[in-house]
Amino acid sequence: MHGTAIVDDIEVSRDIAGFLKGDNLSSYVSEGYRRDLARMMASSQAGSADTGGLKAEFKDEALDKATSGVFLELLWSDLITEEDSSGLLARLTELMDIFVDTGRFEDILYIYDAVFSMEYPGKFKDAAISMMENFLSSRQFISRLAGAFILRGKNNMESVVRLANALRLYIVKPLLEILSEETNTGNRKFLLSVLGELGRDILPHAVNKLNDNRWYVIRNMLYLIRQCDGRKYLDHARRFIGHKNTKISMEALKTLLHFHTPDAVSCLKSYLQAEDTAMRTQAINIAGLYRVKDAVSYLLKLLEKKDVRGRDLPLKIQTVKALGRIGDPSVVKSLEKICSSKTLLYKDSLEELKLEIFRTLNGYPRASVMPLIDAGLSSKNEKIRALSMKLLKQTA
Amino acid sequence: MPDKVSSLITSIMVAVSNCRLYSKGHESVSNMSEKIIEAVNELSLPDDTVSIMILGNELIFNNVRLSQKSIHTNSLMRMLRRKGTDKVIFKKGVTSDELMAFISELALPDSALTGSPHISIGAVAVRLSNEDIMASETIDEGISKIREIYHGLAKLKEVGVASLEDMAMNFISAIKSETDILSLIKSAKFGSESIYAHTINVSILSIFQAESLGLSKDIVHEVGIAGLLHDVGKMFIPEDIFGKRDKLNETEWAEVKKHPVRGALYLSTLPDVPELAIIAAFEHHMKFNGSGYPETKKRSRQHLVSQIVAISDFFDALRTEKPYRKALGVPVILGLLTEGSVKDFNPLLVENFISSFKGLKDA
Repeated sequence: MHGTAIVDDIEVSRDIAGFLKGDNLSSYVSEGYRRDLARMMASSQAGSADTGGLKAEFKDEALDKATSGVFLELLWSDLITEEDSSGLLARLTELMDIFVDTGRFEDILYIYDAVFSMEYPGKFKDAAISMMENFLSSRQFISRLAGAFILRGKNNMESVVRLANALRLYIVKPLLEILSEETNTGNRKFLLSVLGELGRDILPHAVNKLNDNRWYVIRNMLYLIRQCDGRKYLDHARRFIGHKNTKISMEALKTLLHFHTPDAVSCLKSYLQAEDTAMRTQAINIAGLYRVKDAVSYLLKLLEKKDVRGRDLPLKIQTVKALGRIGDPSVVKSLEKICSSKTLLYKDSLEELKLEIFRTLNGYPRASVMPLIDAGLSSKNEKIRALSMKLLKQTA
Repeated sequence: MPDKVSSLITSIMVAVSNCRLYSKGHESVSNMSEKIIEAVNELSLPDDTVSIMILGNELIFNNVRLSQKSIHTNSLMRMLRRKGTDKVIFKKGVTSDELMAFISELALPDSALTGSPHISIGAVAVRLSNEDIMASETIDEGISKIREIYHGLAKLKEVGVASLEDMAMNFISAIKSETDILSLIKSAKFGSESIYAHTINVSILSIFQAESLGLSKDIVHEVGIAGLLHDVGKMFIPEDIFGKRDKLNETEWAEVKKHPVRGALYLSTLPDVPELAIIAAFEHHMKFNGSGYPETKKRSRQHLVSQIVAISDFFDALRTEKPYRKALGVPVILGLLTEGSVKDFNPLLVENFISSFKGLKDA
């Protein structure tokens, strides 16, 4: 039958089946082989198999994965009834619960992919998918998954993002809710980074949450609009320009700058000229972050403003940093002027500013700042000399 | 099962899993410890204790029998039983350190539960591995028990895992006390009853292999249970085919080949049954090179437990006399195993099996 003989339920090849006709070993096994067998059997040593790798197969994760594989094969079998199918799915979802609790995100993805895959139809596929969908969208599963992401996902970001992406239809809205309720800053940041990877599917939900009365929720949603290419939702972001909460208004500004809207720069300029120092400082930082060339003239005005008492030092240092990020060579002359100036009062403040200038020179075209670097080599300030030497070596 | 009780047991088992996966000191383990402390405080009886007891196949929580058991409950019961513990009492005031130590002991296969000021452990009185029982009595008793269990399957849909656990434990003791493994294996003439002797033999041979591979006590135990249950699917083969003395025709053979699927499917409905048993029931006729049966859509490689059971199955099948064939001698069977190595069987396991035999005599 099909070239094999059957011994009960064991399939045996034709060659071996020939052996079974006689019980006289010598008629089909050579003398040498019989000696080898006798020697093996006389040996009192235990098996020499390498057991290290073998033992790994009996660890929980290997066993759970093998079991889920068997359940999936059974699910695709023609022999099962509808009741069997439900039972198998119940076992699979039990395993998925265990995987969530132990941070085994790839194993959850394996089951998800297998159940939803069109490659393996199965007799009750529609019912199976429906049952799985109910499980995945349950509040219990989602909140445990979010908890697992936070507890175990930070060192496993790739797996978290892969799983979150696969499940995004079910988890986007609940995750946004969980993000809104999360009080720990670190956890919020992490959830935000996960949500930011989920693409445009989250945008309608994020926009809905812009009506929340908690400032950090609005700010986070503005971040998500930016992160997930929410170009068509810019009007929703724009309405927060000028919001009384600076954190919200700055986030809105960042969003407009990110998408290079026609009004983005003018909004930035109005913030750069604001009376509120904190607001101006944030606007300066944002100008640097987004390398807004159109803001250079405003920034230079801030830098060149007379400041006899040195009160504006923190603002000027931020301005120097921002200018360094923008890297426009037209500001170098002003930087040279500052570096060559002297003062009797508030010497320390001026030295600190000069030092900050040298720290940012890497952001400019090298040729434009060579004179400054040369001057720095002979500075009385040791740190400036060291920075200049480093920059010179990089040029070489 | 009331939610809070379920939650406590789940927290314990999740902590154990995380301890095994990561480490005792991992944040997830200490988080679970905190949850357990909260649960102990909430669920304490008037005497400020929470008790978990095992009676036979039942879990008794705070003196109340749990009517419904989850996968976590069954795992906890199995773990406690294997450590010879049938009672754990948590007292209010239990610390995180005490719980983490308890979880660590529970997680490690070969460590005993020692207790602490706020965690009392009730050890089991001698109920397993009675070395005074003759090995042959153990095996005979096993055959009766397995006959009962297999017969009871379709009717009661219950497999008494506790009794299977005891059987496996007894076999392990019997193997340790006998120098000749073959003296433990029961010969049985072919017939519908021979399946019971066969499952016992496969269990013993599988335990023998697992022990010689140096696997942990817990795993050896479960391998033994997998051996006992590997052919449970045959109980669903029609009687006329199952008891047939002649060679099977194509249709009959196709029916027989369904038994791994039926067996695994049946075992999957029983939350008490160890995962290794489900895997072995499904895969024990798959071959090392991915051929064999049942045909699979995605999987091609047998798990190690199935490779172990496959060798035991092959060995015992060829040692059993059939109406159309005499029983083969051990040297012949070992030779055939070697021939089938790489294609049909894991070559490392074959080598281990052969070299672990001592002072064999042909039956």
